[in-house]
Amino acid sequence: MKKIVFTLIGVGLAITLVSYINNPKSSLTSNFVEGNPEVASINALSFGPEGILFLGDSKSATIFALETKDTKNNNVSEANMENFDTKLAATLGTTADNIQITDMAVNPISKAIYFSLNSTNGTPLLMKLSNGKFENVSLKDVSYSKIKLADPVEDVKDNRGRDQRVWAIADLKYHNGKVMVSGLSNKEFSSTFRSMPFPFTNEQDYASLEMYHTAHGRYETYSPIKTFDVVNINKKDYLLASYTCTPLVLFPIDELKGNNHVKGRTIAEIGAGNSPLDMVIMKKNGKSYMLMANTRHSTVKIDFESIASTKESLTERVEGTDGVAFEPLPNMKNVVQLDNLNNGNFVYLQKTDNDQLALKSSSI
Amino acid sequence: MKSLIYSIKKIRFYLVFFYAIFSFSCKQNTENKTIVKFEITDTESVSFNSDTSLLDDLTVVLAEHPDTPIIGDWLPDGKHFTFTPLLPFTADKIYEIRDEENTIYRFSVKPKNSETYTEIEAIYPTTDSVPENLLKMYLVFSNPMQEVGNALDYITVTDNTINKEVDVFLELQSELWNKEHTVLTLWLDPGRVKTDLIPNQKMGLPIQKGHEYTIEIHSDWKDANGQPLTKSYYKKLIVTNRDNEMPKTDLWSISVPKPNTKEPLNIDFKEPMDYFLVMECFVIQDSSNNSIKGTFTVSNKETKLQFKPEMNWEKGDYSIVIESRLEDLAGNNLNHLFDTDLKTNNTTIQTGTYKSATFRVQ
Repeated sequence: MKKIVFTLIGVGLAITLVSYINNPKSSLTSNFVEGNPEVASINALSFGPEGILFLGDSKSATIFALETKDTKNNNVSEANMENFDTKLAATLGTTADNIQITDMAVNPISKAIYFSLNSTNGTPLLMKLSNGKFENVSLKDVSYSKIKLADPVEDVKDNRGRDQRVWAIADLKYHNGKVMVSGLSNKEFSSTFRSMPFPFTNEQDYASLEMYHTAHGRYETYSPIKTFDVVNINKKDYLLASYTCTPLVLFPIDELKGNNHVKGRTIAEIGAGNSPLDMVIMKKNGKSYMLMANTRHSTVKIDFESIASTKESLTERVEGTDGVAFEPLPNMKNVVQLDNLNNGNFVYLQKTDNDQLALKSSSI
Repeated sequence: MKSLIYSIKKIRFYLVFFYAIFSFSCKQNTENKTIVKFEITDTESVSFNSDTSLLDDLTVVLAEHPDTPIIGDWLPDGKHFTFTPLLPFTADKIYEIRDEENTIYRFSVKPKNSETYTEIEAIYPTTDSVPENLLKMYLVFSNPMQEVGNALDYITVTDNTINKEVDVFLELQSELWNKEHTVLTLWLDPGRVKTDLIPNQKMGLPIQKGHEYTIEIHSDWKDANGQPLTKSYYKKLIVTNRDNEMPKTDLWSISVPKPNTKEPLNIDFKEPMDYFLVMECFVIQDSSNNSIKGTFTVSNKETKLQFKPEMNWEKGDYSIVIESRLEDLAGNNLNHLFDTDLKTNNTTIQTGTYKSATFRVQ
């Protein structure tokens, strides 16, 4: 009898151990809840660690963290699909003019490509392309946590149902335990940049960022950051931000705390009449590069060394281009989405001459 | 005996096998006959009865993409099948229900709520006469508008003075809609509005003093149900002098209500203000800083604000608390002009989140 009891206890312990190994409660997801996070729109996507996907929702001014559980390692080095938008629309029973791809992010573990899209009636959808097949990622029954974007302007108490401020979230990135968000408010022409620790707490920083706008020829605090990434220079993290028209500015990350007023250093002017769309940092053969997709200019490539070593600080108006040298990639005009795929390879969505979207990949 | 039982078993096995083959071919042959009853209540789902179909063989596709199954949920209930696509069916597209390779039913759906049409309820500023540094406009729709495509594809601006179509509004990757998708904020390119910036020097102001413009909002712009607007809408702009003055609360005229009445409090700004900011930036407080319940109405081409209290006014001192972010049509707020270089030690820049004006009911 004793033997049976011991055996049962042993089996019980073994099951517990196996289930723990299979499903360890990560400290990152320990405050996640199961259910419907009520995502109203998706304007920006970015992956964090452990397959956690961050969603920026302009309509509800909220950042969501979703546990995709898509954590099986995969090595994919290319992705190609012609008539991408037509094919994606067909799996949704409609035509390309009835959907709009709002962002794209590659899961760094599984290499599945995630797309957020909007439909005519505003239903936000999260899709993924895995092994050449489209799948829907549920936004209704998931493990998630969320944080509302704080408004730095304190509301006076009122009784009449104030019209809710809407944030146009432009970009979103996770870096080293922090989620950073840039955007524009719909009511005042003011830049909005927030950073918050992840796992989410009640804490939220909203430093005001000042930079010299080389195309405008003046210092500004209100221009919205269109796209950004984090770069490490001499063991120090910097926010590398780009703005419409198209200055490239460095801000020290450790200063972006509380309501600090932080002055950036403008290191390059890529050329006016243009808006940057997406920025990625890539590594190949021990060298790093920054790639940035643009509305009017071709995608540009900058050798990371020149960003790290530049003492450039542009404080004079620039007509044309100036600062850190960049290389326009001639085959990468009209790139609307861009993300890292794996070491040295990136994936992008490009508008073709017949106004269709093509999914392509390339190496640096 | 054993061998007899074995033979019967063997015969039974072959019978089952032949029956299976027969059933399979029957199903193959019942092409176009499997749907007994088809129902579609709205754009959300279809349901039908099929005597012969197996769930695994069924797909719903767009007729133009027969090999691409539409993603959605299938709910089988005996011979009754319901399919709910992830995205509601698109009006007037042709869909097929397929059983393996065979089309067993074709259908299309009508637009949802096709009897409701969307109109433009207001275009702000409502005044035609605007300063040459006008910063933004708002379009207000009666229903939510489509959330795909570019709004600027449906808006054309003609400079009537030179009879030429012109680009006036700033193209943004993320358009500035309210949460319900009924109000669109359109910016006149701030880089061109601000004097001395390169876009301003290269392209000039978006709208020119002395010129007259017509903004057309096209009737083919669709709402969230896929229905186009009832008609095209037109808005005239007559461009006047640059507005280089910040709104000054001490220049506003305030008509004070009588005590023990629900008379409105009237504020005359003496100039048109940003409609939505006016509706958001005002609070009326009593001498103990309690806000007074009531309703605000903007009138006279956004030059006047009226506040009607829910309860009678009591005698005493009141304050009108105004958020400094309140702007006039040129984006000048209560703290600084829109066209201000923050670097220069400009003495006209004020700080503070709120301004207030007081009045006494007596």
